[in-house]
Amino acid sequence: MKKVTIKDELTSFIFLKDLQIYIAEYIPFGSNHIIAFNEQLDCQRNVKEGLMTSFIDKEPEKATFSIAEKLTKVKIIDYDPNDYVQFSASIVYESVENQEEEISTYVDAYGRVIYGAKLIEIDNNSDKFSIDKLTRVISDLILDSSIMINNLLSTYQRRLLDLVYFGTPEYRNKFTIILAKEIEPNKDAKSFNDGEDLENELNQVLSSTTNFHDMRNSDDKFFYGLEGLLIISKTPEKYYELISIIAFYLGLDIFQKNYFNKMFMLWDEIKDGRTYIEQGDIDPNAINRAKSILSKVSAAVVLMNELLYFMKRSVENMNKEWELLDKKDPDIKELINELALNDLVNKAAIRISDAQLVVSGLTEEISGVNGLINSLAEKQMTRMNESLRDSIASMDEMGRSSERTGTAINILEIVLSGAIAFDVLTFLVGDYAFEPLATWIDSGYNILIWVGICLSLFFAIGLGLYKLIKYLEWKSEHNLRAKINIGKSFTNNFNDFLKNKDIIIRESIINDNIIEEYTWDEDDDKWLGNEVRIKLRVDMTNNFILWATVNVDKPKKISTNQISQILLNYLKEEKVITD
Amino acid sequence: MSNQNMTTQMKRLLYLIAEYTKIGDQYGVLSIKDLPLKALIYYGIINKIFDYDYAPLSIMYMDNRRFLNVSQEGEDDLNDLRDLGLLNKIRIATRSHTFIYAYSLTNNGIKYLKEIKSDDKIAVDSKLKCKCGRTYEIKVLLSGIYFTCSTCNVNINSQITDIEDVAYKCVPLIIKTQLTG
Repeated sequence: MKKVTIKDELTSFIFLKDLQIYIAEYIPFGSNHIIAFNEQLDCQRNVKEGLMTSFIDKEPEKATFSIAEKLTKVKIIDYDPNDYVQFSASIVYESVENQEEEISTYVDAYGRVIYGAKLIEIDNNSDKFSIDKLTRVISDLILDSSIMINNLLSTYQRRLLDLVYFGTPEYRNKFTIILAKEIEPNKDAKSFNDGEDLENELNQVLSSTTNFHDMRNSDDKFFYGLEGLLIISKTPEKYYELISIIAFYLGLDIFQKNYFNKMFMLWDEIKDGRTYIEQGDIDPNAINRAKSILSKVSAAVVLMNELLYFMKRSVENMNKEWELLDKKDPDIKELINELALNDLVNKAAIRISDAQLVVSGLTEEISGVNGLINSLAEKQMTRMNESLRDSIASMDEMGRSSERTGTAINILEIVLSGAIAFDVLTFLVGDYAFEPLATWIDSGYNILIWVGICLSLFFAIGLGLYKLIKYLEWKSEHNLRAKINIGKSFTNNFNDFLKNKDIIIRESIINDNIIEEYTWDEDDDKWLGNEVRIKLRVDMTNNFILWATVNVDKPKKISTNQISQILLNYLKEEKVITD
Repeated sequence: MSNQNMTTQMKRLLYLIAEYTKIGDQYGVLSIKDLPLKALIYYGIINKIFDYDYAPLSIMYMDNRRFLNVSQEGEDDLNDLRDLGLLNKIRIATRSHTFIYAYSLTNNGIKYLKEIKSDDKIAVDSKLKCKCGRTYEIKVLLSGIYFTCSTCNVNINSQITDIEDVAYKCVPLIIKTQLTG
């Protein structure tokens, strides 16, 4: 038994006697799950007791292991292999011997999970229980029942609960039904609706009490709140069957509220994804962020759809049980009317249909956002290709520039070698030491003639070198390229046109559309005596010629304008495109 | 309900909210979120400032569920203060797309502050404000809700997430459904 640690002095106003507590929740179960669940509990092997855990053996090669997780001690009470199982369970903390918190658990194929406990004692008091302390017992039972059932659920079910309860299913809320034989103060139910102490105390356990009702045909009374129902009756047995049905619908109600919250949260996440897409042109990481959101939401939507299926099946089955319920007892009838259970039963199915619509909308939205992401990614890819093409052109230009530099260096080398040659000549004949030449220069105006000869030679050599550089530059830029954006549909003659070509490169890009690139060489007269290489890019899905490039090696008397004109006329003449 | 029905607890609660939502000497400028206010109320209860009871309640905490010590009487008094037109309750969205609530003083609430006795103000200040006279900076973390004062280097755990145990003994009940027969 645990120790009292309450920090405050509690002022208790309401006391209950002879208490039975039922805690209800909905967990997605189907026939297969319940069969597996029964097998896991060893129901069919007459094994009465066992310790269960969600521990996963990650070291199969080792013979021993230590376990730090909480264990659930399970003892089978009753079961049907295909429909339900009922067992008593307790959580084993430090030692099994001192555990006195033992509750029964009922699980069926409809997803109805009810934990039941008869309260014997609180703080060594077994006569009457204050609501203040009862609230703490109930919150302890709610927490412990989550830990206990978690050890028994499949990984898939745990994942579903994780999704609906925002990653902390251990703190999930559940619906509490309390049956007590007496209440103190023994007043009319209505007098508990005082807006002060009594109501506040009831709110602790029922979470905002909305209905305070005295039965017309008996002394029974009940209090109904958002997360709990308190029934005061000397004959609680008559309510057992109804309680098992209320437990399902109100457990499901809490589950559906969380389910809807999660769904709206997913809608908002998709909205975030759209915002990222809008920033796609500015933020280079936006697409990745949007993709990450989309992938998370898509995975969640798949599970949300599966949950809908589970809920639908559960409600269909439980509606049959609701129809078969004996509603003749006037108190049962009154309780059903006061809690508007007929309405709740009918609306359970309607809420699932509504959820189906929202999930379908979510699926469509995901598909739309996915389309946007693809389109943006394609746009980015096109931009990348264009920039790659620009880079290649720039690198080509750099290559040419480098070639020109090489040419200049070659010329310098020639000039340098000429200078060396003159130096060698000077070394051989000396500085005007050639006697006949020196004599001739010295006589009359021959010096002027000599200056004239030297200047003429200088200009002749300079002109020669200039011509040589020009020639070499021309040699280094010996091709022309033209890109023509055609942007026209091609006719049926296109395939015949290609058949006559000797295609040397064919490239296919298969995405949403099929894009083909064909490359071939031509040297007809129409190209004015030049050899050309033509590359044509076409969208085969839409019969559309996107663009063409024409590359001319060693161009002779041809310009880029002429190249464009010749290609367009050529395609028209061959009736590949029309005007 | 009229202002004559204001209890000591309600007056202290109103003053507490007023102190935590003022800037300088100007009251009613800010709004205080529901969760920090719950922590202040709980801390006030265990330090005898508020004569309320509290009990564990599963509520949304940092976008997840968590059991916290919540005072239904405190919640009721907040509603009463709203009924009297002294408080506003505001709904705001969180980054993870859930909703939370916040409280702010109305003009009538600000006017009413003059009618609160200094004894009540001193009582609230003694435990729910730092010794230096400033309000605490309230930090909501996964590990709990803390009251800090950087000037005085104070860091107090509100203990609102510490759920108390009571000693109890229970036995399993046989649950009857149509399937069990």
